[in-house]
Amino acid sequence: MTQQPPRRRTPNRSERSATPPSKPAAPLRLGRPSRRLKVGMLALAFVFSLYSGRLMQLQVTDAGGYAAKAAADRTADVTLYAKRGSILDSSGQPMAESVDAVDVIADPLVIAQQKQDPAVYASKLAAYLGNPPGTADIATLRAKLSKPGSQYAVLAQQVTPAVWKQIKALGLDGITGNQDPKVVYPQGAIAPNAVGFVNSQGVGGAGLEQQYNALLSGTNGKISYQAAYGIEIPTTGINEQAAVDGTSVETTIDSRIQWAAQQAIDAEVGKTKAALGTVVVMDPRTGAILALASSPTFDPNNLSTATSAELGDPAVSDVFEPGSVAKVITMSAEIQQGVTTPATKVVVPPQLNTGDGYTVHDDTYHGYENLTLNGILAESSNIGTDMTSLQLAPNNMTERNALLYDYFSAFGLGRDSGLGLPGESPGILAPAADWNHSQQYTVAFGQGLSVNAIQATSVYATIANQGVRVTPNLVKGTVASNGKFTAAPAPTRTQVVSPHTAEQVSQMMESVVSDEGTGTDAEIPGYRVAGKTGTANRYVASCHGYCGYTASFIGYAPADSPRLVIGVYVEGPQGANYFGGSVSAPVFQQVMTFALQEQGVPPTGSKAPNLPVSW
Amino acid sequence: MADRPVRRGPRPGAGPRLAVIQGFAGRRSAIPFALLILGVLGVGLVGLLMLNTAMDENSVRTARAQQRQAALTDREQELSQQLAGLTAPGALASQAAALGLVPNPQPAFIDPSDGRVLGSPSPAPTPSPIPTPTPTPTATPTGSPGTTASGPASGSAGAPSTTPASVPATTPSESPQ
Repeated sequence: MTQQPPRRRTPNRSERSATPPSKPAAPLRLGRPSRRLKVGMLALAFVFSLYSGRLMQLQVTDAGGYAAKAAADRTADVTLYAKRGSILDSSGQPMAESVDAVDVIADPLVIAQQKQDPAVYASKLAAYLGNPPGTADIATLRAKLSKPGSQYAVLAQQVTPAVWKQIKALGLDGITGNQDPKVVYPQGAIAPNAVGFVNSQGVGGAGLEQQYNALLSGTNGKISYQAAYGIEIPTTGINEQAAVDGTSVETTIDSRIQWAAQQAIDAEVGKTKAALGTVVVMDPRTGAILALASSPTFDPNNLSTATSAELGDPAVSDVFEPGSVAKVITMSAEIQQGVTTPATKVVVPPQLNTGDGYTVHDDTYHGYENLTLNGILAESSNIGTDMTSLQLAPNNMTERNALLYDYFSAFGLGRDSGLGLPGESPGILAPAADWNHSQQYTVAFGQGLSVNAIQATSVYATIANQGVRVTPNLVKGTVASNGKFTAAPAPTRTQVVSPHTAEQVSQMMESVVSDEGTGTDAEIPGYRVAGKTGTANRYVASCHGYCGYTASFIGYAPADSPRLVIGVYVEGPQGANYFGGSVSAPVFQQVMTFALQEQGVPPTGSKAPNLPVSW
Repeated sequence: MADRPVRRGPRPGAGPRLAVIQGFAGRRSAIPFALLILGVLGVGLVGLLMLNTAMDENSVRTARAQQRQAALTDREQELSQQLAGLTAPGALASQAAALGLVPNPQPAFIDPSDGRVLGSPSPAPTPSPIPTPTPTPTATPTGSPGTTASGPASGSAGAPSTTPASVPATTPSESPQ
């Protein structure tokens, strides 16, 4: 039914179309070609205008976007990793250096999909992995390779490029390499505490590596090129943004002296079962730190076994009460103020009652002694030091304290040492007004204030350098990747005491290292050595008070033309032998003997003044 | 068509006279031209092929050279690390100890201008017992044949080491301090 109407209509139409021929034929009227042409042209023009419009849109207005999209589609980017800068010793040899290394990564899912046998993979790879190569555990590798569902398993970290090349040559599916430069220590662990380490993210985690991280890391670059199926299309040009390699940091550390210092302090800390030992070697003329050794230290190649405390640098982070080594500051103040001379005669009583319940004692009991100021320093008398320091401002304790504070501060105590190493503690030097009764007396002989090893050594470097304090420094300069050396800014110099005062104090310190002094063990035959022992009560937080001692010795040689200053600090030595003169002075002697030869410092040939110690 | 029954054109007879030009031998053969074109195409193809080959060859050579460079860089890095390891103070010290050398406990210098001795020199102490091969060459038969290099070194050290313990003992008392 529904199909009816069309059927009926069709004949109608055919009737209608058949109608005209039945009429008398009209003359054939040809269309006007020009009009047709015009219409055709218009139609064509319209169509072409659409085309050209689209063309315009593609080629002109949107062209940039499409071109960029196309370029992006066939552009391959390769990151160029910047080489991390090295940390160099004073001779330019690297102490820590970044080298190429590759992490070997497996994709167990791909291995499973390719129907490969993880056991075969494991045995093939085990021949190259492990340290030394070929010692990797096959079972462990197999477990990693066959872990179901996993797409990322690190088989080995930081293998050498040579090993990676061999693994790559095996052509195993699902095994890839990932650039992961590692820091190596070609000379072994030289000054690990000062150098620091680089953490697993490739960022400096301590020491100089952290302090100079921005400079050391450099900037990664990029290569972009046109590629089809991963293969470079010739003649399309390569856009290379070169990586800027990191800048190396050249330190003032002499790796040989550093090594000798490390050996000596390790042995002493081991022998005395001390909690901590530190050796600082300095050039007094430049303030350059030649060695900075701490014990116990850590192995930068095996960070996992190190405790977080060991990873820092105790030479700057650990503070202690200096004890008798600080007497040198007090005496410098007295001599500079003109209230005493090395020959000043003092009757030192067995004890000094200061009133208010505080009595000053000396280390060993003695009767009344007739000592010179020189003798007070040589025998390290607390009582004598206090008595003479009161002369700074007789009967005016406030002024005397202020003066003493000014000198302690001028010698660099209570301030940052200037090295800028992470985790530095400036120690504690309370303002004079805050000193309590006993502190007013103890500060003069080095208790009731705290310093770090660099600060303490710097005091002696100041005396050795004719009273001019040169800010300690550890970095000589930087070496850019193109080899251009940029020197570090010159350290600041301040005249703390006059050259004459420094000379007098220096001569007094030679008496300490004489047969009449406390530092006999620091003697080096043929050389004039000046120094001072210190045996301080050690404050230990865990026992809420003073437990044990800090044995120290700081000195320099040759005394009349100082080239090297060495500070040795041993904290918490066990046993009956805990004195600076017997624990630290031998270490000083050992390191100084080595360093003098290493630096080629001959004896001056002059005679020690041998100032009188008693009268 | 009815509007313009007659096409405009030059009336016959009024146009330029046409005449047969003598000497034209008729249509030239197209073969030489085709050959020329083919030749040009052929040369072009071969040239392109050669260019491509040369480019590929160069890229292969570049790749090889780059690989070689990378390998050499790795090797250089490895060797310089090895060298640094060998010249490290710790390594030198143990090598020296193995040769029977000891640290000098009493530094002394000679002034080359006047031959003056600066410092208080004394014979070096006997090396610590175990690592030294031959302090006295005849005493230890196992040590002497093994290390020929240490022969002269231990020989010169051997002479004063006959009285090693007694000599250093005198020097501290002689020192000015």
